[in-house]
Amino acid sequence: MIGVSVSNQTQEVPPAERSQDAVPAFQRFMERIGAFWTLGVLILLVVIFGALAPSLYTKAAWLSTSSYAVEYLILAVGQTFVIVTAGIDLSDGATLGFAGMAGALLMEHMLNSHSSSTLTAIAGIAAMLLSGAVIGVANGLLITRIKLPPFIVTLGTLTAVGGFTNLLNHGTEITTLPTFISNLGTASVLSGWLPIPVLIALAVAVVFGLVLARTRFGLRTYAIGSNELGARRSGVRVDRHLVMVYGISGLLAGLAGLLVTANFSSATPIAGANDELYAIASVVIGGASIFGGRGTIFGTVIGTAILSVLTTGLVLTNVAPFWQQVAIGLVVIAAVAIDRVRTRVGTD
Amino acid sequence: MQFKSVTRPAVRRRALLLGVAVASALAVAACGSSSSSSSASSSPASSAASTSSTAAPASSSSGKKYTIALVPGLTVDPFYITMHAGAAAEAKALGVNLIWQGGTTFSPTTQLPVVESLLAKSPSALLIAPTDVNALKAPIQRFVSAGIPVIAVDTTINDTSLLTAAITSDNTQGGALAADAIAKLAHDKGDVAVDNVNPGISTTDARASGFINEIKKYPNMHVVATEYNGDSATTAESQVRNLMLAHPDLVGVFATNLYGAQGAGTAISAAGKTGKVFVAAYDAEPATVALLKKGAIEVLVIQQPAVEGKDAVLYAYDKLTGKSSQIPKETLVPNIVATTATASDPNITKYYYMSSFSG
Repeated sequence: MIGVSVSNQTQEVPPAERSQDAVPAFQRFMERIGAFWTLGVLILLVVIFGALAPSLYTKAAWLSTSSYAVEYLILAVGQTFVIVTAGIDLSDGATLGFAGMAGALLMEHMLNSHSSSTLTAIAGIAAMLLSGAVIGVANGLLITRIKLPPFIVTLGTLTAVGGFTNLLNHGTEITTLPTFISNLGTASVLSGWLPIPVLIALAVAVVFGLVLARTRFGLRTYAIGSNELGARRSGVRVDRHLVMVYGISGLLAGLAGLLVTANFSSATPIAGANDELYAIASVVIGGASIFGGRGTIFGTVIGTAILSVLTTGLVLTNVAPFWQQVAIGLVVIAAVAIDRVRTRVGTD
Repeated sequence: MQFKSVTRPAVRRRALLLGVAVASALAVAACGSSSSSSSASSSPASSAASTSSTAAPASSSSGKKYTIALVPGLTVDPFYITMHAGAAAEAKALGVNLIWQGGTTFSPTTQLPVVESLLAKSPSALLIAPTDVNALKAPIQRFVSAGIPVIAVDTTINDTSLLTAAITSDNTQGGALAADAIAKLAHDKGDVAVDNVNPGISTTDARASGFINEIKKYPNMHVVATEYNGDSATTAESQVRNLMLAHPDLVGVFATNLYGAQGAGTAISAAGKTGKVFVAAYDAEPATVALLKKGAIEVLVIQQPAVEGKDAVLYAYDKLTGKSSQIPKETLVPNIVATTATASDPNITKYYYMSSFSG
């Protein structure tokens, strides 16, 4: 929510200058409901799909929808930080695939040389998180030290990392993993209602949501996205901060790689391919501005939930596959279009 | 107001930059892949060329040494690696050189530069697994115009008149085998669904239609849905979980590739429906074989890529040595079916794909 207030500070025209006639009632309404309109869209989708397919209100549908969201939510949380700084991370899906393969390869080697299962799992998890963070930090360094646009840098790492992933194991899957990893994918709490991967994704959203909304780190993230020069002049170490932000995105991609590997008890080189598009869509549906300074983790959670509910709902209602793609694409555009209408109230 | 007038041109400029960035990055990526792959195998190719140019005048009886290029759909996939092994064995037996070059992803974007750079090397024949039924037509036409015969392996192009021969696994038969195997497990009744990859791929589309047509022979069975997972196991898992919800009588899922199999297997075991909903999958890659052995999937249709590669080299050799009449225009290689019960049978395991081959 801080994001909204910060961006309003930079974009809002003093009320005195605003003519009552120039602001139609619809726009004033949009302004008033604020960022919560996305929550309304989510509820509307649940109600509509629930009416068409009552099986949406079952444990199985919840598990399907929430499990699907895990990988996209974790990536989207990292992506939110990046987008709030007016950046973009196109490489997070590729990083997911690399981290999963790197950790799995290490675990396969350790198991083949008779290391203990526990030690292997710990080393593998550490390798996944670390390799993700390293790629993220590398993105951050390229962006800040060589002054390349984030789009170019992460497009480059998307391709290069994808190549490295294939080099790791000749592009083939790795299935020799310690049981702890596959148990991580299947375990759950609350009599099966809350799978561990979903719990981890929610914990990530809460922790990083608090970091973004309630800490100095979060405030600096917004400040850089709203006005980088201003942030620099007021003493924010912008370069170091951006490296950390891209590092967070990479670290979370590594975590997502771990959970995807655990879910399928197998690491796949193309895991995470095109995930960046879903992550960016989730963030933007959640109300973040692609030009920085605005966005919340709460919005991103809702954005991810909207895409996941659509994915479940469209299959439950037997919508033909091609129309599913059309529907998802249109919802992304509609969500952003409505958001533009809402925010234009402040700028016009 | 001031804010708006400042931002709009900036936004435009940024959008333009993005466009330029994408174009230039793609160009860089394309150049990178073609140059790296050509440099990787330029030494055997150039040595082959020099061998033939020096050997041709000298040898009188055996004629010149041919160089045959094999371009797979992608180089890192066990299916194509096994095809390479079959082709290499046949090439060795016939005494011809084999060049193996391709992209690391199944896409015309990575395949086209490889094909274009091969034309400059003028191989004696081109064996190719086209990654698109239309996009590869123009470059193949250039080979044919240069007098280089082209044989399609596994996948093909729409305009088959350009091809000397087309060899493929009988994907329709493979889909039908999957349907029969699921029907047997489910006692000939219930709903089934197809989890396909992407529309427009000739092989996977043929598998799906083979499956759908075969199911029609069972009066108490119906295909209730076809979904496309876009090569994502996560998407496939979500689809199969939701299909089980939407269709409580679902007894089988036909996954046309590995990621569908992983997703379907995970979905069914998460829903506790193992033994009630059966999965038939395709291709004996190490990962699918692992799924079959542990019972996450019950049926595996196995192709014979080594036979495809072997036949392609043989037909190219026949064409080059003036035995065109022996070449069948279309060859359909039959498939093998494995089940969880037969997964470790040596008569089945010999068909499993190789994950590496250096030849």
